[in-house]
Amino acid sequence: MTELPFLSLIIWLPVLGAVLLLFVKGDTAARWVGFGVSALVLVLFAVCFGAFETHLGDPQFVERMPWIESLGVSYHVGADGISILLAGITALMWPLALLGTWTIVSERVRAYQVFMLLMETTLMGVFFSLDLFLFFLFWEGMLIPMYFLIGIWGYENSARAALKFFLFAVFGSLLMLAAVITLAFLYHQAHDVLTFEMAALYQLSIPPEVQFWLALAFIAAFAVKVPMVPFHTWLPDAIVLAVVLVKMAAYGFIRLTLPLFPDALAELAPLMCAVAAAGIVYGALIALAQSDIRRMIAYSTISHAGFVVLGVFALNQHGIQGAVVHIVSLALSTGGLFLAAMMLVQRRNTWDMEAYGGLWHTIPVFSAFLLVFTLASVGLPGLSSFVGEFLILVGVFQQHIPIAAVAATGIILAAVYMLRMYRKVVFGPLTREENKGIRDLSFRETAVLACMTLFIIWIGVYPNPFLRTMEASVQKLLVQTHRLAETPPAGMTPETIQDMR
Amino acid sequence: MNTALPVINLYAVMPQIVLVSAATVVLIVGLFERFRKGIPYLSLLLLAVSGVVAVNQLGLGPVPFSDVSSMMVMDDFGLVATLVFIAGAVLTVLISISYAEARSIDRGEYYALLIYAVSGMSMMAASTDLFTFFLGLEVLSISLYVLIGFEQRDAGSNEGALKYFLLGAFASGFILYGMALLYGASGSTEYEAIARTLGGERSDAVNLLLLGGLGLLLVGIGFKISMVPFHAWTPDVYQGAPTPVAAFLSTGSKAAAFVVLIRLLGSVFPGLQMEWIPLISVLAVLTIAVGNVVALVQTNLKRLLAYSSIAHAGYMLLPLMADSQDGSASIVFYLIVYTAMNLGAFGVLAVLSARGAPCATLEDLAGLGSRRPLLAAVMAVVMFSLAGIPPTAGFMAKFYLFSALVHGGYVELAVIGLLFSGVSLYYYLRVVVWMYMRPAAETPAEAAGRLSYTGMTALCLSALAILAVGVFPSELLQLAERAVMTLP
Amino acid sequence: MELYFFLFFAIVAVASSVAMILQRNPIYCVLLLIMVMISIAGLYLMLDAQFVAIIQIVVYAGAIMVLFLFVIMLLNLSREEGGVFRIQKPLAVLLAALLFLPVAAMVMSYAGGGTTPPADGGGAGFGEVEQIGTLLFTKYLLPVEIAAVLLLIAIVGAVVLTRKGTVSVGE
Repeated sequence: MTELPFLSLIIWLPVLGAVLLLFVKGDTAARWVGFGVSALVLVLFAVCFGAFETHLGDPQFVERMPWIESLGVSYHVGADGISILLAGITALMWPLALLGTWTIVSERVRAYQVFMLLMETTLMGVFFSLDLFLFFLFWEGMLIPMYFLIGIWGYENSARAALKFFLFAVFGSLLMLAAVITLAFLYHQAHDVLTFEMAALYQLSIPPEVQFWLALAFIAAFAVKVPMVPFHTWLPDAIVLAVVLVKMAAYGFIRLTLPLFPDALAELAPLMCAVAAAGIVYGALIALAQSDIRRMIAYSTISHAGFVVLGVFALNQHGIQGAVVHIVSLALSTGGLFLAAMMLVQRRNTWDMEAYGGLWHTIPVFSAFLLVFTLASVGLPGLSSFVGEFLILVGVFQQHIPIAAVAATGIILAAVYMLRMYRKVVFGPLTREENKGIRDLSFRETAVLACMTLFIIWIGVYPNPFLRTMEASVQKLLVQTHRLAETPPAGMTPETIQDMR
Repeated sequence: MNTALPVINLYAVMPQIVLVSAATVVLIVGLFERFRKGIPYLSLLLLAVSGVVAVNQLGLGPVPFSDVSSMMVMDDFGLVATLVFIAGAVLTVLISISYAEARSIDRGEYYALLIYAVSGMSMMAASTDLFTFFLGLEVLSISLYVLIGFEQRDAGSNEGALKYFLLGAFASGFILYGMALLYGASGSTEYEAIARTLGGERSDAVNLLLLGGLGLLLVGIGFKISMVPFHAWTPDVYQGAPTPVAAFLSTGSKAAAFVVLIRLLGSVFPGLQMEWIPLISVLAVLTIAVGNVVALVQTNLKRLLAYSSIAHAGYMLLPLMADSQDGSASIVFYLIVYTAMNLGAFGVLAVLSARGAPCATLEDLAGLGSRRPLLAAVMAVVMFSLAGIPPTAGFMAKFYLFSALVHGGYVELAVIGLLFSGVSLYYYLRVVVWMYMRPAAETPAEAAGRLSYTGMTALCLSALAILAVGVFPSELLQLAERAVMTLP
Repeated sequence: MELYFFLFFAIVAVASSVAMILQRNPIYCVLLLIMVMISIAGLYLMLDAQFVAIIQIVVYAGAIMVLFLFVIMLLNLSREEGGVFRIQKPLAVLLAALLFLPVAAMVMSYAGGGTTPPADGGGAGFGEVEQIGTLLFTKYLLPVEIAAVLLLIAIVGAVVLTRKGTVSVGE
């Protein structure tokens, strides 16, 4: 089945598309190329997903070849249950996002498509890398397209926002780079081989105090991008990419921080959980005070990102599975919410929710979709976010009951600010003259939002296929984590780790 | 007259001979007005020939110059360095063509002096004797004094030349004094003999002489690589010099001094490590800090690049402490990449300011992204590379350098260096912000019309090279590693 | 006896160079510089380096300094205006003193000997024309060649920098 290098194709096809775009003239043609390439990636991915064997916890579709031999770096990619889900949502969202912003982005269309495709490449690269160096390369490389996307097509103050984002992100990453080099060095000392293979580095036993610092460096890199309070200040200015970043950073936590630094986690995990819970409440409270739709979505993302981190650092099956599902659902619900808001703003040119009201009467189709995304964000049972949040809370309740209780209030607050926004925008009397003539969604826009809605409902009603896909991988991850911590393997919860201290 | 003449081996100095002859040919041909347009192309051709000669000699093993004394040894290290210098000179010539024509400095002497400077650098790289090192340095320096002041009608150019000359003469004085002390201590100017003196039993007095000599040499070389606190000349001179010359100055002459530094510290003065390692580490961190921090507030592009080049010198000083083949190889690799990056950055400025008002400040770049997409793209690649963001060569260079440092056991220094390179992002990205995210001024400073083809070729080549090395660094890494293998 | 000669030359050299720096009249400066050159030549003589001593006098004191004098007189340079380097002057003294201290310490500690005698030279015929000539054609062959290139560059450079404006050769 795996004669074709599927993963490499998925990773590099967008780059080819970007190169192709350099020779394309005209905005419409550029849009079609961008959409076409990302759709092709989606098709490839679907084939790949079909062939994925869910009962295996090990990476599949593995490709490995030497690359920079003198540094011990190899081109090593593969997909396990966790990465394939996250890559899947990326592959799905990309054509939808390009289609959704078809007319919203009207300046420098070609460059926009190029950067979007380059970003898809780097994202896929991050998810599929099995070599730490390769991972870091994609991780850092992603900053370039992101920087331009925020800076050129962002909203007001975009140049400043882009710079701020870049600086935040790079300081985190540089610390991680130092840690990566140190890891390779430690491995070299122990085994006299220079390598960046993740699987090999997992086996490395590092003195706990060193682990602590290395783990902090990694956490810094990921926490900036999640974004975790207090590293979140770039987000409200650069919301466009928030959903993507949450995905990546959480993946970083799962793939690297957990299995690499089990001993350090004993100290850090409860702390991270507490910070995450604080972030949930903090983000929700600030979102409550916003009247700007964009900023409200941004702070709600901070709050949701807190849930994801919380799930990851619950360090058990429920928590991690919940985190992954929640990431997927975030992409759909928050992504959908933001896309819908962008469509609205394209028509009325303001982000202020006070400027709307009574839209139900003029644009019912839009209002209906907005309702779905709003309810999904709130965590209504039957929609995608409920599954994730529920699993995460179950996971955390096994560890830290007070933290779970605090986090749960976040859901209540989310209901308050989300529904407040919806009420202001859609219900009430139609008072403003400008709102009367708004066009409802076009066929293209309807198709995009409908597609997302479909997945939101699917995950909400029948999440089993998704959970099953990653089950084996998550188990393997936990075994890895816990064995290194010298506790009995599999099925153990991190209480034992804490008890040891 | 019964003295036997020494048996000499011209192969040991073949690249230098070819380079000096090339420069002389260019000088003579340049005297004829009718060949004026062809001189740069002749220079390119002759540089290419010397490059081929150097490539041919790779791997022949160290060849000493004569049976009486070595003076110069053509080993892979010297050859690789020479190739880097030649590549730098080729790019400099390419970006010079339109610039020099527009400013009427396109005379034979300009290109001849450029090639003489390369020959001087090559001599420095190959020398195994303080004597030849010093003469090579002077060949380089005198050519540069003249090149910096080549735009006689420009006050800045004159000022830069005078500043560089005065301080350069001072630096040479320091180096000479240091050489005298080393000679006094060891009775010879050969690297090997000095190393032998260091290795053997030595009295306190000799030790003091050696230390003093090393210190004075470091002052002189530190001036050339603009190490803090000997960096003050850098921004003024870069700003005043003709832009292609500034490009050459920031890459070639710095690279040459680094090559000498690797040879000296690595193979002559390991015996004094206890003394120079703390010194260099403090100075390196200072250099990184001062370069990066002062660059933050610059609005003049050449000054910005000057401070950035100071910071890069600081990074390159760090692995000297690791004192390993890896460390030296990482410096060589960094130098190669740095040459491509900095020439690219200055090249963009040179191409832009060839006609019309010079492109001097960040404001002049506003809207470049839509006005000149290709040029802006090159500049963006270069800036990201200087900042060390993948997938550019700059990242690979930094990665290799810092991993050598960590392997040498200097984790703290690596972290400090990495954090400051994070600081540096701010000013590199400001350039990108101005190009892509600020609307153009009503009337752009630079003249409309086509940009010079040769200049654009050079720039696209270096941008492509930066990306290619960023993705496939293996070959170049091996070259760098092979180069340092021949060092004792 | 040797010591007295040394002290004489050394004191004259140092005193003249200090005086030269303090002197504002350029012609006096040049004359004092000639004094420095000559006394250094004396020091060379005491070191058995007759050839270098002669060259020092002929080339520096004779040719170069005379050229300096000519130029200064032709340009009719007047006294240098004072007061420009108000802060720099004391700073320079301070830095020079700082640099002097370690060097002095070095020399003092050296008093007991400890240098390695030069690998070449010494012995009969040291410092004579013949030995220098031999060395220049054997051991120092390459540096001599490089020095030739250096001189060529210096000449070219001088011509380039002094030629007027943008007039190019051949026009």
